[in-house]
Amino acid sequence: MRLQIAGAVIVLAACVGAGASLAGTPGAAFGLCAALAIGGALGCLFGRTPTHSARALLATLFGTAGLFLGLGSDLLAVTQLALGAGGALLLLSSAARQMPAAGEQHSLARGVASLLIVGLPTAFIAWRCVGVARFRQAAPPGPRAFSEAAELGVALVDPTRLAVALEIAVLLLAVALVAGAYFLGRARATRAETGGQP
Amino acid sequence: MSGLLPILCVSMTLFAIGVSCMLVRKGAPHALMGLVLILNASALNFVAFARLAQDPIDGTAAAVLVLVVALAEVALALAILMHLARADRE
Repeated sequence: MRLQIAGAVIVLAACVGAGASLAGTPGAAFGLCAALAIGGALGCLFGRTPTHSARALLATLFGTAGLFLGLGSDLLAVTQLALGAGGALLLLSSAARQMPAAGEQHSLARGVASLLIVGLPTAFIAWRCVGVARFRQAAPPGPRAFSEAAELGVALVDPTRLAVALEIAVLLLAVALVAGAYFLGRARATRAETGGQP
Repeated sequence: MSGLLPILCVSMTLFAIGVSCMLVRKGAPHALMGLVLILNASALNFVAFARLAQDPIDGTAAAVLVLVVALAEVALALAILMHLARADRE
């Protein structure tokens, strides 16, 4: 366990150092966030129990929030931390404790092979996307200095822009809330009928 | 960091790990965690490409909607799975 922690710290320091040598302080911040995100995702894939994976997912959520912050989307970073780290992770870890184990055999080779099979086509698609983006615009702009929360709020309620998308998202959330409450109520009724047996 | 390539590399890696997590691991919580990883990668792509196109608001709004819908999906799937697990135990 100590060896794993030491290895993770060394990889993290190497990523920060590489980013700092390439692009100074923003590069170091990017390296830290990227290493957190990818390391957490790998921990999520190779975690032995769902609880371990949920803890590793927390690092991914923090790293992704840092990347959003680096891109200038402060509202999205806060949303990611509040909803993702606060809500989804709590749900996942509590469900992992209550649900029975799947009884799977943990296989490192299987995970690495699947990662290669999925990763190579994805890398090719990303390479093509970068080519198209370079063709369209040679010099990408940097992040803006001010917060975009006010402009985003106006866009979300503007009927000609994103109001319909917001309404659809709200509808989906309402359906999910009602369905979740229905299933929980049904489970409680079943438990009451069986005299408190789970 | 300016440029699209570093962000796209991170996003691609997250997506690949998420898909692998959904394919390799059998448990439902792992599949849902893989789904969260995939949707995070897509939100990262939305923001990065919107920044490149000099219209960050649309990309950020799309990413916010992706995150919210993903959380609703995770919450509903967990409620259904817990209900099924409880029914199996009975």
